[in-house]
Amino acid sequence: MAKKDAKAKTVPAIKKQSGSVAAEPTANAISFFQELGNSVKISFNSYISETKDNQKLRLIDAFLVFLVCLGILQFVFCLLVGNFPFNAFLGGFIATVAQFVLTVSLRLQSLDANKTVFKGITPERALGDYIFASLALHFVVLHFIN
Amino acid sequence: MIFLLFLLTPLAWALSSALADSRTLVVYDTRLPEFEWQYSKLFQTLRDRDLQPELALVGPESEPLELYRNGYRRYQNLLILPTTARDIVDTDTLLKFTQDGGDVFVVSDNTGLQTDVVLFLNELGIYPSPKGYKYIDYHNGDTLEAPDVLNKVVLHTEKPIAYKDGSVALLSNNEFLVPVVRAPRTSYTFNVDEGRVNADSTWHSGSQGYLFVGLQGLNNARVFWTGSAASFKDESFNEELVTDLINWTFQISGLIKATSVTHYNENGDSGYKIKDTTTFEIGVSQWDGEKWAPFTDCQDLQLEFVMLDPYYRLTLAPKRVENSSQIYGTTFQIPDQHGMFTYKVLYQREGYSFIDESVTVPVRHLANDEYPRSWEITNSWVYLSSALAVMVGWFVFLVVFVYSGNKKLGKEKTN
Repeated sequence: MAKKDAKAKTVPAIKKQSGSVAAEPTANAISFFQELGNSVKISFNSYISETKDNQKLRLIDAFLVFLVCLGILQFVFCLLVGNFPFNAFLGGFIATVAQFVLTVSLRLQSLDANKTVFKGITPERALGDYIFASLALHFVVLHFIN
Repeated sequence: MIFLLFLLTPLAWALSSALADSRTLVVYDTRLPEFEWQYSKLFQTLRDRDLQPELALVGPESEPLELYRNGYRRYQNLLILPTTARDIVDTDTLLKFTQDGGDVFVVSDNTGLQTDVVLFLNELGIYPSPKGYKYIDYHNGDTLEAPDVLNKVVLHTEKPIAYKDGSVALLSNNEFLVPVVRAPRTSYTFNVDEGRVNADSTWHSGSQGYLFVGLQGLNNARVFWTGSAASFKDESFNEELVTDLINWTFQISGLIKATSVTHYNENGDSGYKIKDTTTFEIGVSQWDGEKWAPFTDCQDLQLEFVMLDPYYRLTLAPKRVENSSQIYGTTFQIPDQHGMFTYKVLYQREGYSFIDESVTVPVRHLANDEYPRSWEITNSWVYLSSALAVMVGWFVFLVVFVYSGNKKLGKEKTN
C-alpha cells in the first residue's frame, strides 16, 4: 500500500509539471518520455525513502521482481517456441503468478498501514499461512508438470 | 491293369469345379434336330469337367423345369441352349436360382429366346436383340476374324470365332457385368421383317453391342450370355472358346479366395494403441481346375484401414507362399486416432470371384502412464527449470526473510 500511496502522491505533482510544460509549444513526444522518466524516478526515490528502514519489505519486493521476470521469460519463450508441453508451460507460468500473489498477500499483511484491516493476524500467523500456501502450490505445480 | 490305370489317368487330370456339387441341367428343345447330332462335343466337354450334365428336353407340352425340390436347389449349373419353347422356367425362379449361388449359361440365337429367360437377362442388365433381329457384318461375314476380347481372365483365346445366326445384346451400366467380346465396328443388328434399315429397325450398330457377356453377382454366382450357338455345335465346335466360357461360368476358372487373414502388432502386444506399427497379411488361392494353388502376380490387391473413412489405402505386396496360398502383406503405423478400426480387403476384379474380408479391431488411446514424462521433452526444460527456480528462490527468500534482522518487524512481534 505504501507503494500505491507514494504513486498517488506523485501523480498531482506530475500533473502540475505537465501543465507548466504544455504551456510551451514544444514537441509533445519528447516531453512525454521525459515526464515518464521523471515520474518513474520520483516514484523510485520515494519508494527508496519510504522503505529505508524496512529491509523485509525490500526483500519481498526483490522476490516479486524476480517472479515477474521469470513469468515474462516463460511467456516470451512460449510465444516464440510454441506451447507444446502445455501442462509444463501452465505449471511453470502459474507457479510464478501464484507465488507472486501469495507473496503480495504476505506483503500486505506485514504492512503497518494495514494493521487495522488484518486485526488479530499476527506476523507469525501471516508467515505460517504463507509457507503453508506456498508448499501446497509447489506440490500441485510439480504434479501438474508431471 | 496297367491299361486300366492308363484309362483312368485322364479322368484324374480332368478339370473340375471347386464346388463339391456341380450337377448341370442342360435345356434343349425337342423340336430342334436331335441333340446328340448337334451338341455331342459340348456334352462331352461338360462330362470331362465332372459337371454331371443331365439333359432336359422341353417341348410345347412339357412341364416347367423343376430347378427346386422341397425348397432345395437341385442343380448347381443351368445351361439353356436355343429354344423356342414357352414357359420352361419363370423369371423369378431363375433369379432365385442365381441368388442361391447357381450358375446360368444362356446360349441364344436370332430365332428368339424364351421370354422368361429374356426377362431374367433384362433384370441383370443384358438386353439381347428380340426375335427376328439378325446380326449382320458384311465385312467379316459369320466369323469374327479378330474378336475384340475385353476380358482376358474369362477368355484366353483371340482366335477367330464363328458367329452364325447371331443376336446381339445391349448392356446397362450394371457394374457386375463382365463384357467379354464386343461386336465389331462393321456390324449391326437389323429386323429382317421390317425390310428397311432405319433407326427403328436396328437393335445395335457398330461396337455398342456385345456378343459374349458375363455377370458375376456379389455372391460370386455367375451368369453368361452369348448370342450364337455356332461355336457350340459339333459342325463348327470351337473347343478353346467353349472350354474357357464353360470353365468360367461353371466355377472352374477365375476362381480365387482368401484363405487366411492375420494381423499382429509389431511390438508383440495382443491389442493395438494409437501409433503402433501393425502388419496385415492375407493369403489368396486360385483354383487351377484340380486344386487350390497360390494366386501369384497380383499387383493391385489393396488393404483399407477404415473407421468410417479409410485412413489408409495400401497396396499389398507378395511376401511368401504358404500351404498353397500366396501371402500378401504390408506393415504400417496406426494413425494417431483411437476407435474401432477395420482392416478391409475388397478385391473386385472383372472375371475373378470377389474377395471381401474385414476384421474389426479396437485401437485404444495411450494409458496415463504411457505419455512421455515432462523431462523427456526438451521444450519443457524451460518451464521445469523456472518452476524449480521459483521453489528454490522461495526457499532462499524465506530463510533470508526469517533470519534477517529488522527493527520494525521486531516491534510488531513485541506487539
